Amino acid sequence: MNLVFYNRYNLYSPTVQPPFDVRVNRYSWDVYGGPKECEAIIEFPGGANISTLWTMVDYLRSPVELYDERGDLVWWGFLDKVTVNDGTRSFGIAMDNMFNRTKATYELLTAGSTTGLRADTIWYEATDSTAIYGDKEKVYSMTSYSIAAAEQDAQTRLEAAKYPVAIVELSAIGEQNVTVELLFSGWWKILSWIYYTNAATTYSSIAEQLIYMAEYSDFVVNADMRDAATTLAPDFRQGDLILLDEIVKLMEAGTDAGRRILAVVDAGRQVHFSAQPEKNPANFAVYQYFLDSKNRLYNSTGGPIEPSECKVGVWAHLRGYELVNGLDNVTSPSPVFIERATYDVETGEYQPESYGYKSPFDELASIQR
Amino acid sequence: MILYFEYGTPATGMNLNLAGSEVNTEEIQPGAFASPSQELTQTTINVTIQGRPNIYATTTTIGAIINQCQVTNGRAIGPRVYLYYQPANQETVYRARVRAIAFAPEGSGAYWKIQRSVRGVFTVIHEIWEGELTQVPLTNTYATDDVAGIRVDNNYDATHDNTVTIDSLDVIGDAPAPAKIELTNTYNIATGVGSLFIGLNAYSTPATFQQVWEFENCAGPPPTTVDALYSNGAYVRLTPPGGAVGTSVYWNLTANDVSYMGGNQFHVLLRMKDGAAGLDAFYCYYQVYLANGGSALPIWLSEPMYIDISGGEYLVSDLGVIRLPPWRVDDAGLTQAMRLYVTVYSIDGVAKDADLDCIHLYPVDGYRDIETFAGLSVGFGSRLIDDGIDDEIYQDTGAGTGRSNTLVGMGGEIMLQPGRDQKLYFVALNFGTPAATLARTWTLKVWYRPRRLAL
Repeated sequence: MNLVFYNRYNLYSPTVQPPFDVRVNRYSWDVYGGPKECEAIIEFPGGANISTLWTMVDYLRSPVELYDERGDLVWWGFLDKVTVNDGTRSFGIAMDNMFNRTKATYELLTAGSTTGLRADTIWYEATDSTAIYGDKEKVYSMTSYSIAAAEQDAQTRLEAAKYPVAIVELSAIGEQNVTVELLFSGWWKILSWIYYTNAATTYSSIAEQLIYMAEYSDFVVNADMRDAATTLAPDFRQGDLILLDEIVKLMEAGTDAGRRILAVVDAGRQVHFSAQPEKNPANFAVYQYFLDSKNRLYNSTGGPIEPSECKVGVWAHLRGYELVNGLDNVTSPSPVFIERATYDVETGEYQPESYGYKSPFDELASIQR
Repeated sequence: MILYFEYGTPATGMNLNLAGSEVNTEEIQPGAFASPSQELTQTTINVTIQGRPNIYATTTTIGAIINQCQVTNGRAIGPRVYLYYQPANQETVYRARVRAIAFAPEGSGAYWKIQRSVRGVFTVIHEIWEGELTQVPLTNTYATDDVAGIRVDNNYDATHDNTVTIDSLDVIGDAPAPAKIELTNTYNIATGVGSLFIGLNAYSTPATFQQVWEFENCAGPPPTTVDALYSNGAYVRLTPPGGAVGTSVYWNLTANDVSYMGGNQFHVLLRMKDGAAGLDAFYCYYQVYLANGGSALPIWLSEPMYIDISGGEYLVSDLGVIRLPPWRVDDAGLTQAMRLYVTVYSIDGVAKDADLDCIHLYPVDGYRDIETFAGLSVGFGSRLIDDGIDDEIYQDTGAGTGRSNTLVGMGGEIMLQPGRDQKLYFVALNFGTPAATLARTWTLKVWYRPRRLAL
């Protein structure tokens, strides 16, 4: 596996690579967004000095691409979290607790009154941070406030959160290996970094709205939709929901053919929306896959699918269940739709999860409780 | 027997000899590897150090080696540490990169440094054994078994050759070995090279497999435009209409073509035409499928393949990897003739004019996408060196000076396969205006170190 880092400022350009052997442990894909998470580690069996260990923090939010042994690009995204274990202490530095644009919503109480109306401050921005990491927004819901108190609160919170904060594990963790653990997230996650606002009071199609919404993010180069989704819906959005929530709600509304919409953000940060494949397509052989009991995936002609492709978004017939028909009112156990999957680099295993992967027995237990 | 640690560059001569009179090896148990994918193994060396002054000096050196090992592996600075070993019954000196060393003196208590002689054991954690640096003879249209620097072009057609063949007898060892590839830019124009694709074919009949598939040679292609700037002197314009309808063309594959492909996996490199109208090709997506000879019905269909335009509109783009045919092929001559289709769709439902030149199929036996960054390009006379042996990639002036490392290699290093005929392919893109100029040339040299799982 060959992990390549790109420039944090110029996302198109490679950058100087970390001078360490970065070992990728596993990565996952999801039908919502494509590449989901990737875990890697740098080990220093002979120890390392502190400044060396902190080198990787400089790569936070840098784009990465992961190539497998075939030179095929199998995963991409950005560095989301760095955990440094210096042998006795552990430090975690993550994008999750960083916000560089803040706003407060509150109940505006004027002096002498006991009830007020909702009010919003403007957005406050730490431009030095947005220049490095891009916009990452947070709306804080406050108590009853004056205008001045709400504005001060939003700015105080911005000051505290505008850079990634190192969370230090101070309790003794005992002697451990000296390592740097890296957690990468797919670009889909970055759509949750901002809120979505649209003042237009017109209607447009689900496909048009999805493309518009995806391109609302500064990180998305462009978006497209392969299948017809022409149902009209209102464009207006107040701005209370994060962009990703708005997109997923529309994707679940589906296409003209009544199938939900899936998405992949490619390595060039183009978002490709498409309908979930048909369960029983006319050209059965071309679109169907087979999954054996060891989770090895094959195409319809019996050719093996490379496990490192971590394939999702396809219907797979379970070997041995091809001819099992459902009862009149029970769905057949096969084919299954592969909703998400993990590839374990060390074992070379592909671990798919099917749509509705939650066990019905778990559901029953929760009802009985 | 030759046995020593090297902990400086060869020029510094910083070695610790373990097979001399001052430090003598009584026993060595060289580590072995169960498979080429095993990363590390352990070698133990039992030594005796003779003479009190020499014990002081040697233990100081041992400390320096252990320290250098930590610095080079823990901080990624300074020379790497190697263990060199030539067993008594062999002619080759092998080396292994050392990742960690421990030295344990035996049985002399706390005062072992003031003894007349000291016995001790080195425990050495290291990578695979490598033989001496060996240049690989290369053959193509321009030369046979060349080691002086063979000419390589930027395409393969009647007047260009972008390949070199390596004979099966010229790569020895019992494990795949990384190549050191040295390319000198011999194309005398102001624009240097910004990126380079390298492919290796070791398992898809390198001698006869067809690497380049010209769109003008498709069955019933759209009108061909003759243009000497493009591969085979022509390109075609495909015009996917608006909506979700694609335009398809296909090549007839002979039974032999299918056998040569052999069920291997291939990177599909799409070569496009420059120019305003032709840029539509970037705003299309492509699906590749196979059909039986004489049929248009797909028996296997690729995922939609998009062009990454985020970094610019490169006129050669890697669309992704496909398996051809998508099943295992045992023996030559048993397959049937087939059709290889490419369908072009507009990405946004608006009619497009896609000017397409050809596709290159590069097997995944070895694949490299090298890109320069931070304004660097490989200019006329400069060398691009992709050194998989020492895990470095850089360019220099051609005289070994002015080295710059602002290049990155996507994909693993090119691993030469011992005992197999194999072929390397090259396509380079200009810096800034990323055209794959046909007239571009290089001179090429390749080295490797034969690898051994056990000595």
